Amino acid sequence: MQMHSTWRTRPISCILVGLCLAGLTGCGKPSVVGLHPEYPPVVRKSFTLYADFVIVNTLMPMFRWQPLEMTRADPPTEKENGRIENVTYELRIWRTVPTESGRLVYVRSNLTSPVHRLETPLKPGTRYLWSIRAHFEIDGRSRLTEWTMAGYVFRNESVPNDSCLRFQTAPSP
Amino acid sequence: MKPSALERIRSELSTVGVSLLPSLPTTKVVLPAKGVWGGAKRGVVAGATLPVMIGFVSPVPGGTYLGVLLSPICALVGGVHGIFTAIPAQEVENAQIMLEAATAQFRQMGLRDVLLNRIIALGNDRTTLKFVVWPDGKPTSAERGVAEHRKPFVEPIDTHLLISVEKSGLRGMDGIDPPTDVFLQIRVQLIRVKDDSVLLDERFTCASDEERMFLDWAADGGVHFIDEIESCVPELAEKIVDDFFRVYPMNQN
Repeated sequence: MQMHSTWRTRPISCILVGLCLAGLTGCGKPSVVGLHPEYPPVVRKSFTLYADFVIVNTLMPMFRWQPLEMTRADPPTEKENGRIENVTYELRIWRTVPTESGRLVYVRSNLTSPVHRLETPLKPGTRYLWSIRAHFEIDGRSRLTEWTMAGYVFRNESVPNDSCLRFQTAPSP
Repeated sequence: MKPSALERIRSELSTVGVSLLPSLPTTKVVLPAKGVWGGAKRGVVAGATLPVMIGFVSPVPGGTYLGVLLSPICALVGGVHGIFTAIPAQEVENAQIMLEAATAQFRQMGLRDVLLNRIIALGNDRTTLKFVVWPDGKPTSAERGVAEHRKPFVEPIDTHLLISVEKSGLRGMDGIDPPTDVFLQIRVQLIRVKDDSVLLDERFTCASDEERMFLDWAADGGVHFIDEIESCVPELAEKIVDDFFRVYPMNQN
């Protein structure tokens, strides 16, 4: 293993990161790829590349997201709408470990509506990542959407990654 | 790529031969500062850069100039901080040796075969295509978007899914002793066999579930390092099969 430090090259990258941060901390909503989450919502956090951990007040929150028909790439035509069938949704939740990414703790697939109340309680005072995607058939072919991500989106990274949606449960009383 | 273009490519596929290039990945590791001198150097650089960056991104008028003015003082503070917080050079070097041994160990674990088998199983399970091992055991070499096949045309396989593990190691922001995560980067090319044209070419990365300090990754014979690399294999297999053969791309909003 050839190890080396890249420290000497970093002042320039530090400035670039600064530029990115400056851009991201400007006005506007964080960018979202995939199905749009409704609850827990995506909330922009200043001076970071990612969304904030939104507090949910229950250990079995109701997750909601926009249905597939509202998240199409191009303005859907009647013909295109007619081609999409058998839409189901898949939800995954990961508990975060000390810093960012996390371990899978909850999976549900074949959800027929864009809403799901957790069937098992989460841990209080814990940070989680979550994401959703739609499975559907188009012209008889089985297809799916990308995992929903927000903020600075790592589209080429496997999930979970730092771009997954974020929430945290309230601490126990 | 537009959905229609991607679907046109997918409509031509039938049997996919999967192979992994035998070349070993290059290793990139963000190391902590080594000893007092290393800590001082990094502390000075970080201290000098930080106020300028903060001033640059802050909404305060003239923030950058203020950052530049504060830079020498912060550099001094950073240098002193680096001297007192850097890890002794010998400890860093011992940890490096431990991680080298861990890397050698995971190379012997047959994770490449696990990845190959996982992709084939997922592909057959989740798509209507047929996934098989690329038959000759001597995979193609593909550079600059054009594949060069060394074996004669194999009749029933119309597409070659060529995977190369490009980089692995520890990544993170620089610092005196920065937390890092384990990462694995692969390059995946989908090549049409009949004319060797590259239909899709992507790089995918898997990062570890948590960040740790350099010495923690090397602890216990690098067991956490190996565990994280191992857990990346199924995640990357799913990413390849999903993104190349199943995802219907949508715009970022």
